[in-house]
Formats: sequence, structure tokens, C-alpha cells
Amino acid sequence: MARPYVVKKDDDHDDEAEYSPFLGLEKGTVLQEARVFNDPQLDARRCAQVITKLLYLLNQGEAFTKVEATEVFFAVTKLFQSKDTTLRRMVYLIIKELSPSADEVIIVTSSLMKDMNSKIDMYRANAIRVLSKITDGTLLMQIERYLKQAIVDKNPVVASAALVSGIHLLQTNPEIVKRWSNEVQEGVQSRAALVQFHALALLHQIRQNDRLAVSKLVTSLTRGSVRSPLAQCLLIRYTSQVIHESSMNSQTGERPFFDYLESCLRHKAELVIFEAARAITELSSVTSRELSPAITVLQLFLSSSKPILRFAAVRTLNKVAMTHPLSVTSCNIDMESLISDQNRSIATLAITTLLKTGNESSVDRLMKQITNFMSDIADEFKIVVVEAIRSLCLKFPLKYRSLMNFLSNILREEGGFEYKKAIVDSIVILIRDIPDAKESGLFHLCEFIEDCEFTYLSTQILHFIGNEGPKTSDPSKYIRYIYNRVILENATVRASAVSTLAKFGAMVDSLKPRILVLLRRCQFDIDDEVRDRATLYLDTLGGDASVGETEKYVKDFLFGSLDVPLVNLEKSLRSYEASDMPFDIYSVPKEIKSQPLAEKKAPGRKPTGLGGPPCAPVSAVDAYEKLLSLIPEFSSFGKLFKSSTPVELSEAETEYAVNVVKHIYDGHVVFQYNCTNTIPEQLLENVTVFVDASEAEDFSEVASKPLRSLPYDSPGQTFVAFEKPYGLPATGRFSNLLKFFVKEVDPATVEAEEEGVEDEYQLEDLEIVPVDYMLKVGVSNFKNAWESMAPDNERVDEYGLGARESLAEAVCSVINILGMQPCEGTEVVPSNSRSHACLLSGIFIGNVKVLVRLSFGVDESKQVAMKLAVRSEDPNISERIHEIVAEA
Amino acid sequence: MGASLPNPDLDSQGGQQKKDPTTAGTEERSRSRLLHPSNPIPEMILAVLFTNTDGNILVERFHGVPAEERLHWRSFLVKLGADNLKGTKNEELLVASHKSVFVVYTILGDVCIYVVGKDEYDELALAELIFVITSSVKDVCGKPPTERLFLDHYGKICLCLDEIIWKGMLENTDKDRIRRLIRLKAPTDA
Repeated sequence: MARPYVVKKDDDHDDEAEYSPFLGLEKGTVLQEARVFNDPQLDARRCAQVITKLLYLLNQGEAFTKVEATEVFFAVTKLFQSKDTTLRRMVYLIIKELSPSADEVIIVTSSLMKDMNSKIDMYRANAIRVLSKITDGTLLMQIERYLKQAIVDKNPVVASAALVSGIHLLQTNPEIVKRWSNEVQEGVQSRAALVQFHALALLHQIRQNDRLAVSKLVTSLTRGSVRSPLAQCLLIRYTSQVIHESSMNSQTGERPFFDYLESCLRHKAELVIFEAARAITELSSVTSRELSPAITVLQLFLSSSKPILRFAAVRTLNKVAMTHPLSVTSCNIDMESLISDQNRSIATLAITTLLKTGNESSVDRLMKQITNFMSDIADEFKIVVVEAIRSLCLKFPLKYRSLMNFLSNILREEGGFEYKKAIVDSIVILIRDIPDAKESGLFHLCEFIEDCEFTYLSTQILHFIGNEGPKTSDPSKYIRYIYNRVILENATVRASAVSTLAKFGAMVDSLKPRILVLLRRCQFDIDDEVRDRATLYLDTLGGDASVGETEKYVKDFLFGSLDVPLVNLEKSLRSYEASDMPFDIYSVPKEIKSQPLAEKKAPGRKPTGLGGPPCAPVSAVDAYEKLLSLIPEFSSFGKLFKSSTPVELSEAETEYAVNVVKHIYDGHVVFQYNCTNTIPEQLLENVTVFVDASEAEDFSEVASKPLRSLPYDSPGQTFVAFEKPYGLPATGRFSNLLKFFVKEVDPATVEAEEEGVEDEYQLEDLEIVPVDYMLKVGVSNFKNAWESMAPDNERVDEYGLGARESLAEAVCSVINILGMQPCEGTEVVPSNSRSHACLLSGIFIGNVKVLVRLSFGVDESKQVAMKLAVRSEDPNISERIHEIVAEA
Repeated sequence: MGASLPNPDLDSQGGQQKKDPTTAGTEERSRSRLLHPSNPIPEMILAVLFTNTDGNILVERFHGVPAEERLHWRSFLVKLGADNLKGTKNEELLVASHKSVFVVYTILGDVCIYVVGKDEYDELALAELIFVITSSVKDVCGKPPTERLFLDHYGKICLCLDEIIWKGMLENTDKDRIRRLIRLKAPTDA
């Protein structure tokens, strides 16, 4: 454990005073000294000194054995006889430090109980603290009465001690502490600042699962006075919790308590200002108007002389920049001066914030500053910077040259695996997304593998070069780098290099003869795998390449994917037993077993009004796209336009739970039925959905993909595809009938019977509505987007919406009918307002950009009138949007 | 509970940990407890450490840090101070962080003081805490202490810490009140 602390005897300070009073302190000696505690005539001063020595040992990390601790503890209990206050205070502390075991506690309980009822306030407070530290549940019952009393003690120290005890005891004995809530409630009203702080914390912990109570607490306290900055911070936290929960219920209307948060921005304590600013920036779907006062105060702190405040400010702004980059741009100048901050945490946060908020013109200047900065930070920070640069490059593709250069420069410098991997990944992504960057990017990667110490990265890069290199203008220049790997590297890299060479041979006819020469040399490699690969590729490539069939086969073999999910392949291979029958890759099931998507209803995370398209739905679409692309029947449908959120087709807790996702293509619609079998005694096989489309004239069924088997509690999918008029938003109603073979399962053995029975199950109807053809896609500047669209295509009309509950409710329902993305926070309607303007943006099927301006007005009798102005790239679509509203 | 290891092998200029010393899933400055109030783990002041300028430990107190991780924390903090505290003015606060673990540290006379926290105990709360600690230590010693002076008042300093932090939570924040409390005198505002 710890080195015992000894002040070195130094020539400069050989003064006696420089010796540590604890020089050469040994546990054994101190334990001997502790015997003075047993003296009939107690020397309080000396006892206090011994306790100090014990504390010193404990604070050095010295461990006492069980026997030693017990011995000291028993001796210490004798000290309760002394009336000396200094000694008593030390005794309380050492008891806590020794943390006696349950069977020993009993020795001090009576002394402590006596102190708890002492006339001396400080005895009471300390006894409470010690007791609550060492006590267990049974003892707590005995002292509960005193603790309850102590909470409302007129001495604030006693009250605080009891309250803080309560906070700790709540972890171990919640049911007891919860009974104190009336007393704690009284504490919240206390005039002593600390008592209020502790009471507030405890009360919230007691009531945290009772939303209404928390909301009431916040309401009363935000109106009243909170005495200490610490309590104020707690209150802000609880307030933002209440705001968070209430905004979950209604997305519209004025945000409650916002005024309170804003007023806290003007508080005199920095702690409170920051807490309020952070609470505001973390509000869900916060608008730029709400953000701006918080950003302003944070900006002031950026130039504070205290590192803590600079750090706190830049850390908060960095987070805001992830979601609302435009709101933070006003701080850019202050942020730039922080790049040279001595504290590297601050500097890194400043840089990554700038990378998120910067505009195209500032990129070059920024890169220059970062280059100087990179040399003196740790890998951990560098990775953050690299990732920020990658997204910056994707944002401003024209700047790829300087950013790619930067990446290649840092790739050459020293660094660990994670850092190098981040750089390589970034370059690969840039090559994929920015065609102009391909040649230079590949060249940088080639340079890198010449001197790369990481096998994993080398093989990844070789694989990538094999796919991309042959398609460049001069593929031959890569061969040298690749063949160098065969000469210089370890077996894993050599094998990868051989595969890469083969890919060049297959794709570039002019190189093929020379590649064959190189591959032949690889046949003399000392490693089996390298030789095997060389032989295999020589054989594949060596055939008569002029025959079209063979060439296609070779390319499929080298470039094609396995076409089966790797998990399934692994499973099949594991269960394969070596025999005369060769392993058949076609026997591997292509279906992915478990549902790949988290389709549980995510808590209503509303996308923000600003910036690009909402991110969550996009990633879901990606996953759907991947899933659908695995199904050959749907491969000819083209690009997936939109996938709806799952619609439940069965009631909760029925035998078979089914929901459906509507996938819209230009000329097709695919229904993905997600089915779950909730009966353990059944196995369903050959599950299909029979769809009656008689009420959907424009649709005709073209394919149906059954689900082979649906065991208990393991969701699976079946699909039905329809053809529809190309590019048109056809609508209709579909009725659904689930059909399947059901087999009984013996719950004990989990084996199904051989024989099955055909059965069916009625599901609810499903509709395709116009909203299904609208993608929520935001625009960053609505005004510009609106003006850049031809006014000729504008269609304006007015509608009466009848009597509505509120203006906010009317706005919300129109947004839902149109299924478009609200822009610039205009979906929020201030309460009591008589009129409101709402801006929406989206993309309609056929990739037609649509913008909508809605103006609402409400009269005394709650009659709502609406003016709808639509601009789109196609006048017919503008008309169509009006039809959607008119028909709704 | 709570903290996991920092990597003592840290970046010498930045004084930052290279590896993630936080528990999994606390990626954001955690409002998680706010949003998932049933989570029973309380926010903690994870550690308070006093050393002399050579990095020898004077006081170390951990809360919710498993015994086997303490040694790592200690060497991490000592290295952090060795790299960054030289030439720092008395009581000037320095900060380091990684994800949700924060370190605020300073020098007072010949004594280096470090506090480590997470979640609610972020850099601002820790700054409050270290301010209370430094002012109480000055109060007890009468001035920014030398090592000897600090050790001479060791017992009292332990009592101060006992009043300031209780099982990883901030309790008292006023030095005058603390001065009276450690002598078992009721505070004046009582």
C-alpha cells in the first residue's frame, strides 16, 4: 500500500522544524500508544494526538486487521467518559473511520443514543451522523423517532445532519426514510440555507417516482425563494426533469417554467448560471430563440480568467454545436482564441466545436491552427479531432484537398492503433463519398501501408485497394505497393496482398499477364494460406478469360459477397459434420433470425426544427433498406423511398402480435409484417399474410414472401409486395388475414409435433394514405429555400378547420396530416396567441421538394381558419398537397 | 460502484487520461439519473487527495472506489499534478476531464489538493468543493501551509474534511461554520 510519508532530510532544510511529526510512524507503535485510552485518568490531549496518528495511518491507506480494528474500537469507546469537546469530536470521527462491524456497534449504541438526546446541539448532530453511518436496519427502527425529531430541530446543524443521514439511509432502508416526508417537507421551508438544500435533495429522492409531487414541488419553489445557490441548482435540475416529462405529453404550447430557467441565467452565482444554461440547451427540441440567452451567457464565460469556467462553457457549447451548430457560430471568435489555451481539454473542445460550426471559408485557416495543435495532444483527443474533420469534409466536399492532405500528414506521424484506425476510416469514407478524392486518397493509403505496423489496418487497406484501385485511371501504379507487402510483411498481410493482386488481374486485362507472374512467385511462399490463395487465384484467372461466362464467374468469385448473413454461415459451419457430403453454401438460411430493428416505440423523440433531416428515422431506413435488399424478389424495385413507422395490426396481448411497416418504392409498395408468436405451446410454420386489396384498386399483388417458421417469442417477418402506378401517390385500404400451419410444442422438450394444422387469424385493416408518400426533410434556411422556388408553382387556398380545442392542437393535427418536417421551431405555438405561422418542408414521392407555409387564426368561439400556401418543384404536386388537406 | 480505472499512463502535456475512466453508458454528462430516477447510484465525490510537492500522500479519501483501483487513481492524480501544477499560483484551479469524470486540482502552499467527481459533481461543483477545502485548510493553519504546518494540524484538517464531505456528498460549505463545528461549537447563525 502507501509509502509511509517521511520528509527527506535535505541539506537545505536540515532544520529540526522540517521533520514530519509523523516521521517513522509505525502501526504497531501507534496501536501500543492507543492503550492510553484505557487509562482511568484520561489525558484528553494525549488521546487526541493518538487518534490523529491513527487517522494519519488510515489516510495513508494503511489497513488494520480485524483484530486490530476491534481492539482500537473498544478502546475508543472508553473515551466517551471524557467531557473534553475536542476529544469527543475526534472520537466521533475515528469511530466512523474504523467502521465497526455489526456485532461491535452495539457497544457504542447506548453512548451515541445518549448523545442524540444530549442538550448540547453539536453532540446531537454528530451522534446522528455516526449512528447513521454505522447502523443497520434493526437499529434504525429504534432511532427512527429521534431522527424524525432531529429533522425539524431548530438547530440547523442537527437538522442538516439528520437530513443528510436520510439521503444515505434511503439507499439501504427506503421504506423507513419515506415515512419522514412530512418532516422533510417542513425542512424545505426552512430559513437556513443548508437545511433547505439538504431537505430539497432528500424530498426529491423520496418522491422522485411521483411525477405529480415533483411537479408540485417545482411549481411552489420556483415561485418562492430558494436560499442557497446549491439548492437553486437542484431546483433547476428538477425543473428540467418536469419540463422534459411534460413536453413528452404535449408537443405543442408554451414550454412551462422556461421563464424561471431564463431568470436563473441572471443569478449572481456562476454555478446557477451554468446549471440554467445547460438545462436550457438540453431541452428537447429547443428552439433557437430559447437557446440564444443561454448561448450569450456561455459566450461571456469563454473569456473568463478561470480555467474551470472556460472549460465548463466550452464543454456546454460543444454539446450544443452537435445539434444546433448555427446557434453557436456567434461564439466562433472567442472559441478560436481558446485553441491556444494551456489546458488541452479546453483547446480540444474548442477545436471540435469550431469544426462543427465553421463555414467553408474558414476551413483553411482552421486547418492551419489545428496542425500546430495536433503535435502536442494525446491520441484520445486526436481521434476526436479526426472524426470532426471527417464530418467537416463531408459537409464541404470542395475542401477535400486540404482536409485530405491534413489526414495524410497526420497518418505519417506517430500514433497508436485507435488513432491510426480513425484516420484510415476517415480517408476510406471520404474516398467513397467524394469521387474527386479517390486517387489521392488511395495514394495516401498506399504510402501508409509501406510503413504500417498494424496488421489489421494493412489487410483492411489492401482489401479496399483491391476493390477501388482497378477502377482508377492508372491501376498499374498500385501494384508495386501491393507486391511489396508480399515480400516484406507477415503471413496475414501477405495473404491479403495476394487476394488484392488477383482482383487487379481480374479487372484489368492489360495487367493480367504480369499479375500471373507475380502470383506464380507467391506459390513459393512459406505460409500455407498464402500458397493456397496464390494457387486458387492462378487457377481461376488462368482460364480462358475471353469467354464471357468465365469472366463473370471470376469477378463474382473475387468481388461478390457471400450473399448469406455471416452469423448464419458461422452457425451452419459449426453444425456441419465432416462426411462425404461437401458443405453446401446454399443450405445456409438467408433469413436473419431475430428482428434486426429496434421497433419498440421509442419515446417520442421529436426531431429538431433546424438543420438537416432528422437522424433517427434515417438510420432506421438504412436498416430496412439492408433487410429488403437481401430479398431477391424485391431487388428490381429500385431505391427505397420511405418506410413508415410500425402500425399495430393486433391488439396488445393477443396470441399473435403483428405490426406492419409500409415500404414505399416509386412503383411498388412492400408490406413488412413483423410477427411474434406469444404462445409457448405452438410453433407456426409457413406464415403468410393474405391481403385483400379490393378496396385498393390501384394496387396489384406481385410477390409474397412467407416466413418459414415462427417459434415462440422469436419475432420474424413475412412480406407482401404490390405494384402501383409509377411515381403516383395511390391510396387504398387493405384487409389482412394471417395464415399459417400450427404445430403443437411440448413445453418440456421444446420439440414440435410432426403434424401441423392449417389455421388463420384475422388482423386489422391497413391503409396507404398520402402521408406515406411524404418524407420529413428539413431545410436549414426556409426563407431562402422558399424564394428559390418558382412562384408559378405556388398554390394558395384557405380552409376553415371548425371549432378546435386550441390553436396548438389544430397546428399539430395539420402537421400530422401532411407528415412534413416543421422548420425553425415553428411547430411550437405560444399559449394564448391568436394567430400562428408554421413552416413545413418535405420531399414527396418522385423526389419532389415541397415547402408549405401555414397561417392560422382563431376567433373567440375557437373557430380556426387556415391559409395554406404550397410551393414545390411540380405544380401538380402543389395541387396534390391541397387535396390531401381538403380530403382530410 | 462508480468509478473505474484511470490510466496512469497519461498525456504529459494535457494532463488528461488516455483511456476512458468512466463506467460504461455514462457517455453524456449524465442527466441519466434525472431521466431515469430509479437508478440508485448516487452522484459521488469520488476522491479527495492531498499530497506534498514530491507527490507523497498526506491524506487520501475515496468514496465508492473499489480498493483495487485506488492505487491507479493515486498515481494518476500525482502524475497529473507533477505535469501541470509547477508554477501555478496558490489556489489557482486547474481542471481535467474525460467523459463524465472530472478532476479539479490546485496547490496551496506546499500542499497539492485534488478532488475527483462525476455526474452531479462536475467541474463547477468540484470547484465549490475545493474552494471550501482550501479556505478551511488556510483557516486551520493560519496561512497557506508548509508540509510541517499541515502535518501539525493534521487532526483538525481531518475533522474539517469530515464536516465538508460525508460519504461522497458535499455537506458543509462555509469555513467559519466548519471552524466552529470541528470544535463542537454551534455555528453562529444557529
